[in-house]
Amino acid sequence: MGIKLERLDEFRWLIPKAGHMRVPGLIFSNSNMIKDIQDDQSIIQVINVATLPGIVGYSIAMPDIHWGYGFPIGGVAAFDTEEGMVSPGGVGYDINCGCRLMTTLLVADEIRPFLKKIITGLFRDIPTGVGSTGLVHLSRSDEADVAVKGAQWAINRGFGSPRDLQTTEDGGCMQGADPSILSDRAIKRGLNQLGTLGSGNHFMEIQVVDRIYDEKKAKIYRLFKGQVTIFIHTGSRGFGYQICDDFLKQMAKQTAKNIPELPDRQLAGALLKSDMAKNYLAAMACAANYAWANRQILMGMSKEILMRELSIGPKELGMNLLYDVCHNIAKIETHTVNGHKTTLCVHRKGTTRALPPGHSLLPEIYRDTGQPVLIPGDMGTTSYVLSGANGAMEHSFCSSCHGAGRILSRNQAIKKAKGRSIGREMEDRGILVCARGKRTLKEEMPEAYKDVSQVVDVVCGAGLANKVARLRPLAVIKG
Amino acid sequence: MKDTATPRFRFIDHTSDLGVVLYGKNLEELFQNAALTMLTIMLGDIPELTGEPATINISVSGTDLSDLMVCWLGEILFLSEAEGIAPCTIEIKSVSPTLLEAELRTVSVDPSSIIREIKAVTYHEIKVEKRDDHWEAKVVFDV
Repeated sequence: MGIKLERLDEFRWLIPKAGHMRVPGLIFSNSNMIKDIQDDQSIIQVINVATLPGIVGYSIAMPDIHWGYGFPIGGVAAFDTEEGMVSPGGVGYDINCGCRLMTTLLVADEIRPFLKKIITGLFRDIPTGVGSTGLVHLSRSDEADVAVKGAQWAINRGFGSPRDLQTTEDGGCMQGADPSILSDRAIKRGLNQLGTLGSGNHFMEIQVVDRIYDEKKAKIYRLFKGQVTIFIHTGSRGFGYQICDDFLKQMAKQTAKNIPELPDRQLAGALLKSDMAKNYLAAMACAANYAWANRQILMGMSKEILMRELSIGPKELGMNLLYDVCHNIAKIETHTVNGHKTTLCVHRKGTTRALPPGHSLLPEIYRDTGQPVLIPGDMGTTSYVLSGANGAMEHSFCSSCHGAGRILSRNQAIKKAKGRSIGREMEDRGILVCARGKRTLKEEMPEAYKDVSQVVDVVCGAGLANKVARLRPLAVIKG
Repeated sequence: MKDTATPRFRFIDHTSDLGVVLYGKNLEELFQNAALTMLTIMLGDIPELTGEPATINISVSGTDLSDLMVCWLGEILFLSEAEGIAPCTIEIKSVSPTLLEAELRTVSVDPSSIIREIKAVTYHEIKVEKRDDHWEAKVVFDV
């Protein structure tokens, strides 16, 4: 492909500024994984993002980088609020797709005999799959309330407790949401999808904490070895897809006129000081809040199901929200650039915010540890709980990776899985799987993903985060 | 496009999403094939014409052929995913670089019969172009 990468150190590669690039590219990786993306479109996508107006610092990619649409998945890009832009494609269609991790007081060895019963109960009662509809049916005014209040809306209806907001990014509510600017289509798509998991790579997993790396932080995060945890990965469903689509179509038309040299139409955006950008951010906040309400409801439902299937009460279960993070979002944040505090619009497309210890946005309980950073792996290996570190503030606008990152296309994965029963292979590993379709399992097979441990070793080696605990799946539900 | 037996699309590998190249001997056939291909991906097959299908006339505009393709497929996607209706036949009445008019005969589809979620039709690497004797389009779906 002829793109020369300059190795800066063990974990960082530079794409020097060339052509229309306004800033260099910076890829966090290792010598093994960098080979996998050398001939991939994702490096071109890092370069394309570097050409956008008002980008500051670097066009950044995390070690889970892979080919997306427009922006690479695993990308971070920060834009000056005066000269820069916001790009709906740089957030993604699944606005505030994210992760939520709950701890319990259960010990894995004790619930193992009941695991099949629990996962069957979860799979039966948590709406999964394409077009699934939730148990919570909204009126239009309810939906507007969800869009403004986020997780608080769900708590007001009995899903969880107010203390959950302390351990949810942004308190589960992004300010500035304005439902009055949403299209009728977006509102319609959001009416019956609250409290649903969705399909594809979205999942709910019962896990066991199988390794603690930092006892002190693990104690503050309420993690202990052998403990059962519940991990949720989902987002804003059709509501978010429609909001992204509505704005992208408008911006694509304008950008084609204003920036004819744009390397990919999917990168279309609007200058942050324009009304179009302000409207998009207000609409995006509605979807972000919908996603937080969605995960809050799913948490509440899973708590009820666990108590029912195990015939235990809330005290015995001891479910606690460790943290909830979004990994598809654009946020107005303050960062230090060249020694000056600067207000920026930070796009995280498949990347997770990672605040270091002492950061003013951290809740009191995590002030000394740094923000919990939740990294799901593939369904057959492990997930990680990290804590944000100072390097993230210096090098990546307080961002870290968001998962393992795909390495095989869906078609490649299906070919590789031909003649195999992925469900049985998972059972052989001691992991129960419930999925709506066999194809989903094939597409999501462990080999379709990079080695999450290598990904995590890179972000920790580069000083963006630190390992706290490792989680191993016991049972998974997928759409 | 050599003959009518030529597949109406082929998949292209894309790490996270789903890309297709679509064919048509003229623009009308290209846009018709594009919609039928997307429905096939979502539903496994084109819905059968059963009972009394409804007829819907739709008109879609775009700034050029590529934008028109994204907007056209977006309309069909919204109908299927959000309204629960899918076309079993599509007649492209007219298509210009900025306007498409079509008549659809539609049937109801149960959302649970959708086997593949398409979140959106993206602009990523969107291309609609005339080849020697046929038209081709490249479309990437967010799945």
